[in-house]
Amino acid sequence: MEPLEPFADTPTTPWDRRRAAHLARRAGFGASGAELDRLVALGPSGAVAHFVDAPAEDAGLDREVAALGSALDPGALGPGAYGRANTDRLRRWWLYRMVRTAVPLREKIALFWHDHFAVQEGIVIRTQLLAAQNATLRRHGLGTFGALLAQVARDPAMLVFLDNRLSTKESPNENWARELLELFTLGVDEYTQQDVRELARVFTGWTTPTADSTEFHFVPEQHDTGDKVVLGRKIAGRIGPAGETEGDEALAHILKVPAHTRFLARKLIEWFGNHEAPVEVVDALAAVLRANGGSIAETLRVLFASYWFHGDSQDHALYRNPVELVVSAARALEIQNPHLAQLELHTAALGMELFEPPSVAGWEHGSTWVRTGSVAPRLNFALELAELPHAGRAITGRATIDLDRLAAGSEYEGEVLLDLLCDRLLQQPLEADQRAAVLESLEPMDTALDSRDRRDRGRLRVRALVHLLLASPQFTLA
Amino acid sequence: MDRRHFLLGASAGAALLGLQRPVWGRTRPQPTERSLVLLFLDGGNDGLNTLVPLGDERYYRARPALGIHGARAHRLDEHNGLHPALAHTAERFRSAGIGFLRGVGYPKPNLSHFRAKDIWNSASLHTPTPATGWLGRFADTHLAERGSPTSLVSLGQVSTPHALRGTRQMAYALPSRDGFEVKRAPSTASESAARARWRALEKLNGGVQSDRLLPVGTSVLAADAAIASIAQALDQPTDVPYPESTLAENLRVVARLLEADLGSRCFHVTHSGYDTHASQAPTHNLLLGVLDGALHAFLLDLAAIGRLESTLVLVISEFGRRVAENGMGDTAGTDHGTSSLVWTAGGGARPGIHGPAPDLEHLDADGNLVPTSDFRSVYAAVLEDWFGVPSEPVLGERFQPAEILR
Repeated sequence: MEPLEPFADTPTTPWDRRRAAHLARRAGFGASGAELDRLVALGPSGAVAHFVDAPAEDAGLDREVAALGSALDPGALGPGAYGRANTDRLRRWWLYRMVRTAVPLREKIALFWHDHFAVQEGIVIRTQLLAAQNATLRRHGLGTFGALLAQVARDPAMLVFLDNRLSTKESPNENWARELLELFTLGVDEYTQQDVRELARVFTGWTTPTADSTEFHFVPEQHDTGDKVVLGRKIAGRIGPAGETEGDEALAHILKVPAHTRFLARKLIEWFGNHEAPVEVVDALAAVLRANGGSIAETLRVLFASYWFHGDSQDHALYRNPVELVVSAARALEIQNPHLAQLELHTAALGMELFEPPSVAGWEHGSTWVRTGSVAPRLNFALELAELPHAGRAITGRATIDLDRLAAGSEYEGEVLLDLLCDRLLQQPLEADQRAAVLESLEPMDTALDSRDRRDRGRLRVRALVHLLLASPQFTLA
Repeated sequence: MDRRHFLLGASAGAALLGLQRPVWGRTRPQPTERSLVLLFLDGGNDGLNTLVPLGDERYYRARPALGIHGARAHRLDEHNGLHPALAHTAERFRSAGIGFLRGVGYPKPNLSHFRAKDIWNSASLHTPTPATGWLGRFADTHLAERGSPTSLVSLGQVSTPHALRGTRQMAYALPSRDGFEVKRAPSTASESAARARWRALEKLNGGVQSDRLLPVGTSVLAADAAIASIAQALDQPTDVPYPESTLAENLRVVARLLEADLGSRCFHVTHSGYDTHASQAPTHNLLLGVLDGALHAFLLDLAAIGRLESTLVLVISEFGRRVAENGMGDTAGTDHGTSSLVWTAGGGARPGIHGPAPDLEHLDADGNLVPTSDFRSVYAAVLEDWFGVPSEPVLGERFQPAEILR
């Protein structure tokens, strides 16, 4: 079988709820109930198309966010805005979008690029620059890598973060040039220090008018007009405004280096497929990238619709990063007013504060998310979400959870309720011992509550099960 | 040297700093009673502007904007001065409390942060980088049998630092002073319900076998085993004033854990922000000032709790910076370099400046210093001379221990 042979709905490999749920966890932040039924009905290629053909705009979501008022609107931030209060607003806005969006791949790919083209609030400072970059990553995230890279190279947050805005012909700064090659396009050991130096000269004069500005600005007087040689290609020095085109020529050339498509394919597989990307799958996906002119949507379409992606060993094989963990939980539980559930604090406590990655390399993924340091924040998040106030419908000004809706049809009966919530939250069965332990823990709760009515007892059971399932090892996996 | 120190004289000053050497004949702590605090300066600390080669004209020519002149530096000897922000460090140096090893690096550096960190953490030049770190491998062999859940502790980050990762001994990561305790059940739960809830959580996490689930469950149980004793240790008062910084707070926590004697042998603390490509002067000044104050308070604290002699502080960074600065005036910075400066303090540190002076005449093709010591010889010294264990099984090769310990 070819490494990325298209998945077909056959009696031995049926397109069913299990496979649709897998796709929704990887291409989005999970799906359950009616949403999952719809994905099953669409068939494999229709379901994949539902994600990758996501419209660039999500008008419904935009209206919903606008209705929440200007406190959540990054567009309302002034040009000078900075600091935690302002950037937390941006974090809440983005997390709200991830929880509520109908086109989750649009947000997920923005998260992928935020990890790839990582910038830190601590250095960029201005919230508006972070918001502008975020909009770029969302708008161009599923287009071609070349188009996205051309935007990022001119992105003020990046120009500030990697110091290129200060790079001049007299003193070229290597920071952007090095990370462009090492982290953004080719990978370490695919270039020389000489290439870094030459590339830094190419990008001299690429700047912004001020450190607060959201405008890109090319200053010919600061540009080194001499000839350069980057990765074996001579780039003729140009005078005046034409000097800017040297950068575009260099970017186009870098993307033709064979190592580039393998580098990007590997990263996409590690994020959406498996932390350990098999080399034959990397090579096959790199060929897809090349054949599609670097289109991210087309590349993901092939990946998501492949037998490899839907293989049994891929099911629940990827550790969720903290944003995925928190958003998936809030989404599966249909938390009302999720922007008030302090999700931004939880992702930070779990080690993934948006707009503050640990370095320009982004976050480290995989088993790093389940080591000892994540235990307390993860278990405490589970309890906190399970203990949100109950409400039958959203109440202005507070985050709530509808416990009765989660229990619908179960009559609050322990085993039935557990199955319902397992299906909603884990989408994989608990081990027999785990299941017994969970059910056993409901008993002392019940005896202590004899005086309360049946529905109150039932709601407490829902809370207990939500806590335990979110705190289970199974929930760390997508 | 400030006026008070001058008037009191060096030995009285040393006593104030908690630096007095052990009384002659007093036995030093056994290797199994010793701890290491690995303080990592993340981003590539500029060694040349930390320990300044005073009077080397090539240094001042390469750094017209960033060069630190003798009058501003804390002069240590005829040829060496410390960055102006390192006042406490300079005092400690003069009282024989700090050692420096210059020119530490590794063969064929490629100037990447991430490759450099992989190499320093794993103590290996191989690709792909080994998943285990050098202290993780040390712990696997020498500490795992004793099974203390707090043998290896990292501060200030959720992820376990690569240097501490092993296969048998799990490191405990304490991201911050707040929020590291697990809330086991809602506050409204009855005692029996709360107990039952926690039992279920333990069985949920203890009852999994698959490749992916097992590490999750194991981490939960390991963290739970560490948390109670750590919470108790952190409730103890600190008698020494610390400056206000995250680094100082993390070191203060290390001191409390050392005082509580939880069997912790290796601590990992990170101080970030040293990647000074632009506007280096104010940034570096701020960073070194924070480091100076935090380290000073920490060493005073260790002396006060009687743990100075049994604790070695090792300060490292993934590389130094380019000899020539890259800009003019206020925006001048330095790009990635090669060899870096290793500091030692606390028990075991051999005071003084070690390793040859930086050779600014013979730079490599990229304008960087040529390293004169392999970083693995520093690790060999820590393993052999401090922890008293053979270094070769941990490092995979034989390295002559650097003479940085007494």
